[in-house]
Amino acid sequence: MSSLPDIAICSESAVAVTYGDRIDPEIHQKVLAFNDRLLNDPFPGLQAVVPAYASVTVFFDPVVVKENWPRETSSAHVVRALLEDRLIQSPIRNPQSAIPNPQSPIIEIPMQYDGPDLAGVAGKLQLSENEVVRLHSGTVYTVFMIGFLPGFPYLGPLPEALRLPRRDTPRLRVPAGSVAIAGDQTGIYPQASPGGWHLIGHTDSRLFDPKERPPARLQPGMRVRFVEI
Amino acid sequence: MKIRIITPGLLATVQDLGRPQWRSDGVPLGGAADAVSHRIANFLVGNKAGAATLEIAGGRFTAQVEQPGWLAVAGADGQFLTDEKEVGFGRLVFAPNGASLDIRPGSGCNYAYLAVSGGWDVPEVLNSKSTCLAAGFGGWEGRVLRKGDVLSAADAPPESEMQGGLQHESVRSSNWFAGNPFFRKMMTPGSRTIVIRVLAGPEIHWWSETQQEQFFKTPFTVSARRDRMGVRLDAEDAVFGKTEIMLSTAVCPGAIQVPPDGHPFVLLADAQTTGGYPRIAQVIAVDIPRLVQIPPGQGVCFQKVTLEEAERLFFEQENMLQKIQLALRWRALK
Repeated sequence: MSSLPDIAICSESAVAVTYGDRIDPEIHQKVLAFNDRLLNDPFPGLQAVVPAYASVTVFFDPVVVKENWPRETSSAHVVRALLEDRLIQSPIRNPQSAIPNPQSPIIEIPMQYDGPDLAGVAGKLQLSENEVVRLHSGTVYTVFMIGFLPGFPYLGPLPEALRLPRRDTPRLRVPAGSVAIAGDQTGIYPQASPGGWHLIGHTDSRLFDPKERPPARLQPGMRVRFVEI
Repeated sequence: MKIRIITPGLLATVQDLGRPQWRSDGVPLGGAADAVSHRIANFLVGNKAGAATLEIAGGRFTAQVEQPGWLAVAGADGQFLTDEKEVGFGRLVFAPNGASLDIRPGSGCNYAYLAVSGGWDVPEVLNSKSTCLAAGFGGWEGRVLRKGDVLSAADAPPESEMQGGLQHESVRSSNWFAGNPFFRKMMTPGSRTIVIRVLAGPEIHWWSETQQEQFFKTPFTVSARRDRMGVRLDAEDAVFGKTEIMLSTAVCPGAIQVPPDGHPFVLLADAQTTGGYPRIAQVIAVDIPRLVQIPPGQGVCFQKVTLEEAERLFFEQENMLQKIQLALRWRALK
C-alpha cells in the first residue's frame, strides 16, 4: 500500500500533507522523511516545514512563489502541485531508511522527580511514586513534534501504566523546566506557561535558546531518556 | 530620534513582520498584529516594510522626545497628539526635543503603530526584531514596554535624508496624510455585523452541511478575551462545539478553531504553532488585520470565499501597499 497522503490547502500561505490520524511510529517516519526531503531540496518561497505526529505542514511566501511562477494565478495551487510531484516521483516505500536512525544516540535529560502532581498521579494510577519514576525514566521516548511553546517537545509513547487524562483544571502557571505527562505523552515546559498536564518533576536542562541554531535543543525524530538525579 | 516612555498603555511591544522561518522550533510567527497598519506607518517615514515599529495595543501611550526626529502613527482609528495638539494618524511628523507624544487608539483597544525614520533600534533575534512574549526574547529585552524605557531609532535609511535634512524648532506635520484604505469598507451601511471572509477550514467536514450553513449565518460577538495570541468569538448558542480531539498538527494565524465550549477562537500572530482543536474555517489573509482591529462587543459573521478570490484580494492588497510605499517615498514635508 503506498497510496498518496492527503494534501490540503490550509491558507494562502500553508499546505498540509497528512499521512494518517493516529500516533504511529511508522507514520511518523514517513512524516520525518518527507520533512527532510523538503528541507534538503527547498522550492523558492518555502519558509518553514513543520512536522507533527502524522502531518507535514509547508509554509511559504505567496509573493515569492508568484514571482517564480508568474503565469500561475494561484500560489497555493503551485505549492500543492510541487508537493504532489515530490510525493509521486519517489513515494517513501521504505520508512526504515528515514531518520531517525534507531541507532541514533539517546539524549539524556537529567531531572528530579519532585513535581507537585507526582503523589496524585501515583494514587490515581494505583502505583507507588517509585514505580512511576521507574516507568517514566525507564523508557526511551521519541520526539514526535515541537509545538505549544518555543522548544516544547512532545515525547512518546508513554508506558501504558502511566496514562491519565489531562488535569480537570489547567494551571495558570506551570514553572519553566517542569516535566509533565498527559495521555500517552510526556513533555517539558521550556518556559513558564499555563498548562493542563500533570507535573511529575523538573529539569534544569535548557531546551530553548534563541542564540542557538536550531533554537530548540530537541528536534523531531530524536530519542530521549530522563535520568533521575 | 529618542523617546522616553511615560505611560505604555496596556501592551506596547516592538514588532516587525515576524519570524516565519522558526515555526518548526515552536516559535510563534509574531510580528505586528495588524501588519498593514505597521507597513503604512513605516512607509510614511521612508522605511522598508520590515523595519521595527512600536505596537500600541489598548490604552493611552505617552512619551517624551529626548532627541528630535521624524515619526508617524498608523492604525485603524484613533488620536495622535503632539504637545497636546491633534496631529492625527497617517501623517509624517517632525517632533523636536522635549515634545510630548500622546497616542490613543480608538475605542475598544485597537492597535496603533508608531514608526520612526530608520526603525526602532533593537537587536535582531532569530532573524526578527519582534517581541516573542512566550519565550521572552526579541523586541525590547523580550518584554512589554514599561514606564521609563528609552528607545532610539536606528540610522535612518538614505531615502529619508530629505526629512533628516530639515530640522525644526516646533512640531511640524505634513498637510497630506495616508489613510488606511483597507478599513474603509469594513462596515456595510445599515448593518450591525462586520463581514469577515474565510476559506473552508481543514476540518470543516467534522460539521454536517446543515451545521456549516448555520455557522456561516450565525452572528458572533467579538469577546473581551483577546490578545496577540487570538480572539474568542461568543456565540449565543454554543452549538458548534466538538468533543472529539484531533491529532495535534501545525496551525497558522487566521485559523478558526472550535474548542468543546463551542465558542470559535481565531488564532493571531502570537498563537502557538501547533493545535488540536478542529478548524472550521480560515480567515483570509487580507481580513486578519481588519479582524484584529474590531473592538469587543462588535458583531461579526463569516462569509466563505474561494481560495482564488482570497489570493486575488491578497495580491491586490500587496499592489496597493506597493503603490502607497512609492507614493510616500519622496513626499517631503510641505
